Amino acid sequence: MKSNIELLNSKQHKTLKFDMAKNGADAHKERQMTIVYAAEFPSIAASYPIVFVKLPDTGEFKAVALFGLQREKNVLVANGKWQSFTLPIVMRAYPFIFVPTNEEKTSYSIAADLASESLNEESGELLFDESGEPGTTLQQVQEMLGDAVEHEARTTVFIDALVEHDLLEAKSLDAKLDGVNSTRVDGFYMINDKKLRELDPEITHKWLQNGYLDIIFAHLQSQQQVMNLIKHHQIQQDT
Amino acid sequence: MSKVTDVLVVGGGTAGWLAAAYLAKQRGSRVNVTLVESPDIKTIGVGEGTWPTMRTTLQNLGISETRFLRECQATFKQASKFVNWKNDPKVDGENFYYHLFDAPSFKWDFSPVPYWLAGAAGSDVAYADAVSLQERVCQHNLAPKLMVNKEYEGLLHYAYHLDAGRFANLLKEVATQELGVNYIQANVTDVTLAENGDIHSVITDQAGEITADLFIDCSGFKSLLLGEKLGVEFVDYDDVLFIDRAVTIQVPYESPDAPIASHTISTAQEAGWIWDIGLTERRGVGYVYSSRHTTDEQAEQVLRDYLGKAADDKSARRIPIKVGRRDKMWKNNCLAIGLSGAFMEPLEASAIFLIEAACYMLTDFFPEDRESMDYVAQQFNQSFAFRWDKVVEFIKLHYVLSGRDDSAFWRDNKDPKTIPPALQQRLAHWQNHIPSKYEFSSVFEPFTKESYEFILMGMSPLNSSQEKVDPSLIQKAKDNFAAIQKAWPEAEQTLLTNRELLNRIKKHQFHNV
Repeated sequence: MKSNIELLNSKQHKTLKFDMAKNGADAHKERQMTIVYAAEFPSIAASYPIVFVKLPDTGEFKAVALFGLQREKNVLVANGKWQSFTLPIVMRAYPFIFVPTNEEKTSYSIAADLASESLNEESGELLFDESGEPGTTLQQVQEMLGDAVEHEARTTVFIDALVEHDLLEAKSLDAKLDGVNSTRVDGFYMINDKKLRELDPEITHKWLQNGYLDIIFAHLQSQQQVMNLIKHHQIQQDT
Repeated sequence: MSKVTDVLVVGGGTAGWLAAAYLAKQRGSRVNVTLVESPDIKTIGVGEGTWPTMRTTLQNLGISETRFLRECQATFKQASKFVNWKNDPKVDGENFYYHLFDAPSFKWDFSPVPYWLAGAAGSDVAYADAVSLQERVCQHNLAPKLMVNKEYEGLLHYAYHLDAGRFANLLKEVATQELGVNYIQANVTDVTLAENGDIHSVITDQAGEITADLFIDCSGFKSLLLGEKLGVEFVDYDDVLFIDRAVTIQVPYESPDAPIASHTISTAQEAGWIWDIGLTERRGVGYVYSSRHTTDEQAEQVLRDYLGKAADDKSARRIPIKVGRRDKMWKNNCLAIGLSGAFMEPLEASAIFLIEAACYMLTDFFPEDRESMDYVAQQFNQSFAFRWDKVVEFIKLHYVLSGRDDSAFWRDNKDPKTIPPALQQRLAHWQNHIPSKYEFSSVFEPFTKESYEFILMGMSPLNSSQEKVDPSLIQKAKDNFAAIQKAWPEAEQTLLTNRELLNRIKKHQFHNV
């Protein structure tokens, strides 16, 4: 599904409604991955492989949860439902998205993916009330926005620390996604376990105290979920 | 056995700081490196083109590409574009050809030359354009890498254009702050010799006498140690290459988003040629010319005509050039690196490359003691005499193959008396035969067979023989040529312009992974 993201404002979107019942998982059938925040690694590590990727435009590293091992393929959505236990924050906020409105990323606004079926003019709750103020849904989204902005800033600091200590390495794997032929899966980065263990004790102690080690081990543990994805690829191949 | 433990580099600039930094990085645990630089004598301030070896050099020094690009206002160099060298534009219209860094051997497993000559790339497709995407990438001012590429990694082979002054400063910072080079700011007022003719010390105005076991002369054209004190003769090449003057002007871009060229542009003129190098904030442009064929005033006018309005309120700098080399690079315990040893017109930007080559050779083949130094020096002298002679031949090749005869400068350049015999022999053979790798048997040939082929096929393709066409490979050659053309639309979509990529580097970085 091709996305159509627009900043929300009370004039243009006066008659736009949000219907939760139509905010189904099928909208994400072609979403191979989503951005995740460092603070949520421990809670989602049992559901998704968490890896790092480079953003194409800037080469910046971002943390993502994988929903599939091939481009535009999400093998965790079947029969309109997610097969996993818990959704990452960005997916929980969908179709609402937080976008920075300036280059320094000090100011954010709420946008929405208008391609979502949940956003329409017929059913559900109006986004803006008669006086142009945000309705209940948007108010809840605004609260999530505050948290998400903070999460993003802290994740950036966390990833900068990984880069500073030279901990990331490029990874690839060969997986039999159709059960027969090997496909190379690459473009991902992971923390190098050996380098992690060779870090200065002062750093590892600091990271024990500030929670970074929990986040790092959650990322490393989550690699077990790759097998789960491969299995889902093979199952979907057969159906 | 007298160990060589103290090295003194005399002179800053690109040569001095590169030599000091490289030596300290590779040998710092065994030798002490000191650099003495005059606070009063300016560096030459030009010299902004490099070869792809610079990527290795910077990596070996532990300098990040991101830092280098930012601090030296550097841009990518993928080729040299020779404009109006092939023919007189007044007769044949503007013409050009490219000498690319992206040589066929990177992607072809056989030489494409005979197949191009036989027409397998189609009619009217320039050689460089046929064998690589890089010509088009340059024509469209696109960068050879993406933000997701690693440090020093590219989609196409590339080197850099850099600001000479800023480059020397970056090297100085790294050398003194990270690599343990001792830095002395002082003028050398005298040089003392030992009984055996070795340099014993330099006397300075601020730091007294400085002794060392090995002296590296990076004092520029002055050649204070090798030329002046040790009296090593200068071998002129002005009977082969006529250029002996330069006039240069730096100009800003017309607008902040004006395109930045990804190649050095060399435009032939009536008595020489104009170099045009684009950095991030400005262009460095200069006319190198022969004083035997024009006057300084006329030359400056030619440069100003080339630049147009951009040069209106800018003053030009005139630099005399001595084309040639010292008879030896290394005498006794003194090695010259940079302009102190040799200089040619910068037609193929060889000068900085040869500084790097000297650094690589010195650090790999370092004389641990005085007893081994004479042998090392002899090897150095043989190697660099050969390299410089080959540089001269390659530069001369451009003049000899030119179809221009619209001024005495161009006609005189084709006089056989001015053509080195080795080059004459090669050219006679290449009238009818394609170059063979066996003609380039020395591993230290600065220019490879493929470089020669870019010039030959760009200027004067042989009407030659089908001798090297293997019928079983014709289809494969056609497929390869076609694949390159087919890859262009996607490349054009994916690649950023140089300007855009270099803007992004101001805020984002390349990574080591």
